[in-house]
Amino acid sequence: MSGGRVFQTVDALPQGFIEVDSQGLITIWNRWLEERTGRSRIETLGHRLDEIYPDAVKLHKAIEAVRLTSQPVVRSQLLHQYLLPIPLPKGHFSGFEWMQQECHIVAVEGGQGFLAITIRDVTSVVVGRNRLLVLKADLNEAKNAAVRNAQLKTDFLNMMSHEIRTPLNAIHMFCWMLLGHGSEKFDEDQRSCVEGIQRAVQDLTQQVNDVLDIGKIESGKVSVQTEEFSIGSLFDALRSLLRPLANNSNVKLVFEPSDVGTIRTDFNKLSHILRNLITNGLKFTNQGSVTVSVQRIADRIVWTVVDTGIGIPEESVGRVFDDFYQVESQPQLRMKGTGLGLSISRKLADLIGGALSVKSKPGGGSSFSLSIPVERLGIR
Amino acid sequence: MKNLGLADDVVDALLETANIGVGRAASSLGELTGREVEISVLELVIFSADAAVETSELQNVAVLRVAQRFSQAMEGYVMLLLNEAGARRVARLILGEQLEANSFDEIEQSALLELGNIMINGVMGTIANQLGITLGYDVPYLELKGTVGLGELIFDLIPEPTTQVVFMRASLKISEEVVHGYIVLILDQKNLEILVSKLAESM
Repeated sequence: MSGGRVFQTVDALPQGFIEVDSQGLITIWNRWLEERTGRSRIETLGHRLDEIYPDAVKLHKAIEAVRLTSQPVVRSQLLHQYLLPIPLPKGHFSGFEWMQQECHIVAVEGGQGFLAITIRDVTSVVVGRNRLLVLKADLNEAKNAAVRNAQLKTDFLNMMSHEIRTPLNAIHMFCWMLLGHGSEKFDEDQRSCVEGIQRAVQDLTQQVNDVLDIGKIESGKVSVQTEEFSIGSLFDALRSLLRPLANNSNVKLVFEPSDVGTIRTDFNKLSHILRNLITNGLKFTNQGSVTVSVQRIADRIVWTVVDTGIGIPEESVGRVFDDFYQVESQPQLRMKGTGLGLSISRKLADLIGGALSVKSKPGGGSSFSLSIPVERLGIR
Repeated sequence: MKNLGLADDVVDALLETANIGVGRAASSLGELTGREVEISVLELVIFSADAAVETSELQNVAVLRVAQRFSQAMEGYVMLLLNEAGARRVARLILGEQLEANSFDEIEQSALLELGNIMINGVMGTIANQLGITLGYDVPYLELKGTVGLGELIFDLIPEPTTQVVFMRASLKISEEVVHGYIVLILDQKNLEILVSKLAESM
């Protein structure tokens, strides 16, 4: 390659290129360096690099090492930062005063002591990397803070729920004693007041229990205890538990007969899920019925709770299983409950290998389904 | 693996020379990072590249390689191999910062290339000095090779059936933590004979 073509080639390089001869005098100083350093070839060619940059000690040492051994030297930014004090171009803000560089120095083969030095500008890579590191540190801190806050919330709710439940139990017991043994001394209004207190305490206890349940599930403290039982015994238990609630409403609670016989799962959790679904149906149905059925559909057992109630607006159907979510359309019902019942049901369904779903339309009632694969119920 | 029938004193001489070289590299790294660095070559074995294909060394691990060609009095390749986890630990120890678990960024790769450059320079410079020979070198380069095995790491550089391998298992001790790596000289039969004869002359 002719001398002219060599200069054209090195001028086209997107990085700095310096050649020094055996005396250390600069023989090539390419255009990239002219533009970045502000030093022209007239100022640099024929001069020693250490005359022009006396403070670039690391670079001069590296050049001497190559001259002594002929072995190439690599200088990375992380271990050395800048090697030549090249200021950043105007208008370039990066948090650094100098361009960050990587540098390779090689002996030119057959070049009689000539060395080739390449300098790459890695400022933008370093800036991007530093920003990424800061972003990662911030994200990590935010995640840790969120985890700490979630734990604090759970601890607080658990502690408060326990502290509230103790006096509630006392109020409930005293109401029961008053209605049992002292009721003959009450007139009708007084008796009605005590019954009102008892109902309010029962509602509040249920809400506290919901908060405790969700706390336990979220902290992984709930284990699955499987046992074998019949669908009949499950429905009998639910019928007995929910009869008082059904009797106090104009809604008929119906358990349909089923061909599904014995299953093996966690009785308490399955019962809890169905109790929540049925209670929900009774709560949002003014007239008509809540019907509970179970049947095998392909490889799954599906429990369905259908009510003739007010239904759920389309925009809310996808959110009814969220924590603390309550449908906005019935403000008079919003105070009844925490909005945790369906969320607890979904989490319990997950625990026993099932899935909850809902179909509903405003004014047309709702149909909640719990579906569990037969193999999770010990059925072939 | 056998030492290709080479005399034990020749192998010992090469091991001693390599240890002087990595000692110099450790000194440079220590000065550079401000940490105490010790490097030693624990074992040196010379075997054919065919045997390398069958070895269990560096099987099923992602490998980071710094390779460099040398020429003139002797021709071949020299490479530093670190498994990915080892490379990550070395980088953390040298750079003093925790690396992400799934990749090396461009700047970190460059620092590892410099580490390889220092170790290779230490070993090859000492071999050249001790044997009184002149070597020319290409610029070293770094590659993340994936889980390719030792055989491919050799044959993709010198695909000759007569390729021989000088395999050195090294330990890097930085701030009381130890990381194992490998320094590998790849030569064809003719160049291995040059190395052995020069070693014999120098003893």
